Amino acid sequence: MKRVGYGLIIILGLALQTASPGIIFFGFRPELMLLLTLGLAMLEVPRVAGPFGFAAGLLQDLLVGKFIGLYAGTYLLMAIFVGFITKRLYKENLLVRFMALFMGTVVGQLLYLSGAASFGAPRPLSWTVWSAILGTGVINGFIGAFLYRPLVAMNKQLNYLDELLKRTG
Amino acid sequence: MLDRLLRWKIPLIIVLVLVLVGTIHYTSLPRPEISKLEGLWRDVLSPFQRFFSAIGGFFQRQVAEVNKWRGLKERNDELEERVLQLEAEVLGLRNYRRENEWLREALDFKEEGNHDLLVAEVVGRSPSNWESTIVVDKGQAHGVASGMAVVTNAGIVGTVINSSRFTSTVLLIIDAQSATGGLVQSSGDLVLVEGGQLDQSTLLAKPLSRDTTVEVGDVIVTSGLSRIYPKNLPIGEVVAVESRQYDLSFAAVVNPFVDFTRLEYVLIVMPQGEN
Repeated sequence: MKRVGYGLIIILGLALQTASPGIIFFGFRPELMLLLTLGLAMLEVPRVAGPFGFAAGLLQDLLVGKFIGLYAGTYLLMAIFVGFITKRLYKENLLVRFMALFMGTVVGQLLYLSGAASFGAPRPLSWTVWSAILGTGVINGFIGAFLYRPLVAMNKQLNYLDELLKRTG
Repeated sequence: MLDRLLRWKIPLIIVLVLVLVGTIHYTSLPRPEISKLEGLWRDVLSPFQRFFSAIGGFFQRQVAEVNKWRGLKERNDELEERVLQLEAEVLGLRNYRRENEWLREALDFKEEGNHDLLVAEVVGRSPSNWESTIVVDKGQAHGVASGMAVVTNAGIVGTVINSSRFTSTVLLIIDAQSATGGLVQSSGDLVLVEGGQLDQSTLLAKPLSRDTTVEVGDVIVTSGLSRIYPKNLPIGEVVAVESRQYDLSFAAVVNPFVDFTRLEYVLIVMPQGEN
């Protein structure tokens, strides 16, 4: 049940992220898949958030059609990394959530760009790229900080349904 | 138990890393066709994309309408109230009329340019900030293949980079990896028009020879040398000329005629007799 729920979240999230004209805040588009991965990493163990990130990244990779596996690997690493870092943080604090998501988004994007560059993508870290990274980080931080509570509630509901299904067969 | 798990975990991680590196390397090279899995996934996702695009389009139109009405409100509050009511009533009809006008213009464009064109609806965009692509609802089943030019009646949009059975991905000319051969309409000088600007809405035209002269207000059209775009299709208008490398060279900032934030329908230039 939980897996089906996560699968649906990924499909709807990707469809929303790639819809036209799409969600744009102050000229920057949020990285919704990375945001969901980081959000889940903050409230679940890496054993759950890691595969979620990997699946979300892989499906995004298949849409992009280039460097297939790079988003998957990046999101997997970020899920583990952010899960590890935020394990001992008080996540109910809005600022802590914002900072965790901001840093996670920035590091995740840097990791993706470095990976792409090492496989021949022509994108040096210019001012244009830095401003896009930081802008997306801020947008992701803001959205994620407020989206965290609904995500916790939804995850709780999924866990409950999963447990219920296991017990009733 | 832990030892046993760890014994399998490490080889599994190594295999996963190797597989990922292999697929990344393989797909980093240009591919003439996408895999069946990619095609299937895109076809599966396109109805969802279309659904969210329709919602997004609705809100965009509402925002545009509200912005339009704001001016009227300043002039006449009562009149605006009436307009609001009427607009809400005829919104559905207006959408049909807009579509009709667009298709009419597209037909004119088709007759003027003598191109074989296929009308396609924009159903999606690139999932990340690092690519400027759109997804259209026509694919291999409609005869669309990679390398085909995509235009609107306003100007060029981009090139088809890959197609699934029912969708195609178009690399926009504002993307960092896009480079198009251009011609300064007033002088006939050749320029290279590149994307990847910070605002993701302007282009950069770089001269191909030392004698090239470009001035603000010049119109850049396709040169036709790339064999992708037909000749003389409008690209954009020069809005600024910036000096580069100790004033020895320059680059012109070009404002494209196509509004990439409001693309709803595009025309795919098909080989003669394909459509």
